Amino acid sequence: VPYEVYIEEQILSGILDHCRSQLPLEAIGFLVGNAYNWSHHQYVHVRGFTPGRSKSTRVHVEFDEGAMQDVSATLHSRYSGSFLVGWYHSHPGYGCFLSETDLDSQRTYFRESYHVALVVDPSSETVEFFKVDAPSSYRPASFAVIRKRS
Amino acid sequence: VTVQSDGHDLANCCPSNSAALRSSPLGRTFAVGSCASIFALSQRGAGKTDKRNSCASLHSHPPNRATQSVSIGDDGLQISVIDLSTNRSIRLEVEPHHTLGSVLETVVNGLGLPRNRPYSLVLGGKELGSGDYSRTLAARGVKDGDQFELLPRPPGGM
Repeated sequence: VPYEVYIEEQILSGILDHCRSQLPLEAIGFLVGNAYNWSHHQYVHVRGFTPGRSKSTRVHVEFDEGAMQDVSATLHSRYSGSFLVGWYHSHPGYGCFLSETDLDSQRTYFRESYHVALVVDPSSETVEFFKVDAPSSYRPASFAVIRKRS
Repeated sequence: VTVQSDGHDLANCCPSNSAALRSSPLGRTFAVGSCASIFALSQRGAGKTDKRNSCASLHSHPPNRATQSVSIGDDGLQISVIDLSTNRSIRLEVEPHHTLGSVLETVVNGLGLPRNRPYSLVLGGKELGSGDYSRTLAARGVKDGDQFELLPRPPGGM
């Protein structure tokens, strides 16, 4: 059985760096990639990310007005042919899970079965992908980190 | 406003050894009106087109009818909006006096997205500000063939 998410190591590292740079506040951004079916299994390949300028506190984060034109520019210049397969944000010191706010965002904006949410706790250097299968519940999504041979 | 939703998206993004996900409503066309400022184009009789300034609910039409057979005023524009979280696009026939807010509302309705949530439109690399949505397409300099991008604005937190 394939994993549900494949993410390149340098992309995950970049997301962690972004979340660390925002400590002790939360960080937010989008996951960029493509969705596939293979032998009746669905998966996404995360090719990149777009860190967002944000209004952040220790317990809340949202995109700044004007942040979306940066997202658009990054998609066009670096990730042609890909789209937003999900989003990420950080829970500094609180662990990786989906809060009610997160769950509502996922249900509202990322409603396709391939969409994923990545939560990062930069304090403990932990990450977890999630999917929403039912209206009020979510589950961890299996993922693999792609390390390119040097 | 006449809306046509396309499903050309994911197939273009997938390598040849992977099957594309095709969950979008390929070929479905909609006539959508969400407020009185939008002209609803509707079919009346064989091959005739009627333009009414009224509210219209979502209607399904046979594929390839609405946007091919309707005619709009000399000032009519065709624009498209691509949803960057699914790569689906939607085509709209609009008038220069329509507001950007009514276009966003029509797109949200046409794509079946939850209403009363924040979304952003980007045109020509510039994100529309909160004050832009009350402006008309003419005032914003929207031209025939322009493509908008629709992006989500998810909040996160504890």
